[in-house]
Amino acid sequence: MDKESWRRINGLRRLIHDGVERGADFIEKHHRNAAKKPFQMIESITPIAAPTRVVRSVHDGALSLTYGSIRAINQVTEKTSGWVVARLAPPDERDGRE
Amino acid sequence: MALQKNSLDKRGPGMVENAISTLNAWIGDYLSQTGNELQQPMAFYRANRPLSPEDFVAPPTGKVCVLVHGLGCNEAAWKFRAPHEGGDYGELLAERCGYTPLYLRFNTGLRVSTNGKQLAELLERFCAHHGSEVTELLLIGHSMGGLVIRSACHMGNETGQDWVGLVRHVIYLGSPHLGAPLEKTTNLATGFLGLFNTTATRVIRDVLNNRSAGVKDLRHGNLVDQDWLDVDPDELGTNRRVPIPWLASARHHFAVGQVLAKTGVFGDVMVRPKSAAGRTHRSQPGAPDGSDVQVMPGLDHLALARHPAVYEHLERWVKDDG
Repeated sequence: MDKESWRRINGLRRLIHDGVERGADFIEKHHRNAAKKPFQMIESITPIAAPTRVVRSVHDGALSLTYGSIRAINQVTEKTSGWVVARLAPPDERDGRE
Repeated sequence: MALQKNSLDKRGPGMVENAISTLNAWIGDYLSQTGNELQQPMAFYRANRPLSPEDFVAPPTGKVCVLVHGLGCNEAAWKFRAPHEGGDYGELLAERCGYTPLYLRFNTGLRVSTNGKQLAELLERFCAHHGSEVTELLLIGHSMGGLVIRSACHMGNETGQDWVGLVRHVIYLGSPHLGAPLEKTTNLATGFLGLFNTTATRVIRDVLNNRSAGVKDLRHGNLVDQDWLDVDPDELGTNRRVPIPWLASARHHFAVGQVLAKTGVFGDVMVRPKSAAGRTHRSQPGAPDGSDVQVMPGLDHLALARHPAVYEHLERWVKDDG
């Protein structure tokens, strides 16, 4: 494989990881936004406001954990794939990498 | 590496290059910001390889034509559909009129003004390297490429670059001088979606607004930094274009596609006839006197870059002037 192909593979690798990171941010933002309204409505009913707040905290925590895990796994795979590409690429391309 | 002839290697862009060009149109500004290797830096390409201006031998006749492709394309956009038709405009101009063709490839997701600056610098380097051996420049731009050429000419003129004085003809093939309807519609659609505060509309609007700055420049045909600086790129219907004069020392020619042969109502599908013909609009000056507008019945936007009937007019335009 020539130097240009290795550059492209590296670019694609970075783009995929960027995509997962930005995609997770994007979906989390809209996910939180979508959940906000129903919680606000239910919380306005006084008798069930307190338990709803608990449920909401659990929900928000689960959300942070889920998307946080996706980001963490993504970072680990990015580092691993970067290492693999760096090992496989020809020396001059390896040196040129950030 | 000096290249003596165009015909050394005819290998052109393949599927990977085409996919990268499309990706650059969509998110090229992001690729550039993040220094991603998939961005397509501006360069003259030959046989699918980038060459620096210093790699070329001096044009034998002194005449050079520069072909600048449109959004999401590369030099493959110029190839005629049928091989028997003679290759592309560059090859025919070389064979029949003595022009040395230079095929530009660039990141179409960047601002038109950014690409304009880069093109101006590239042409300055080319002309500085070859000195008096370059006597004439012919610039041909398809779609967004025409805007990049106008931007480069303006900036080159403003900064007193030498190559500008060598430009005798500029040919615009379906360039959206007054903007492109599809981008205007997308801007309207995202503005409309912004009126509704629902998750679905917000998601669709955010996804649509992720299109590149280069695409957004096509809304009004932005040419210089002042057209977009301090302006929200997703603001509804704002046209802050400053009037930019046409290069006075060159002759300007326009090919206008008309997909329905008998009516210009749809233009070439992507660009309206008024826009492609560089007509006056509010503060924007129209094409100067002596400009030729050629309507091409039955041709759509992409066909303008690779059709023998368009080539006939190209040859007529450059030959008419001696």
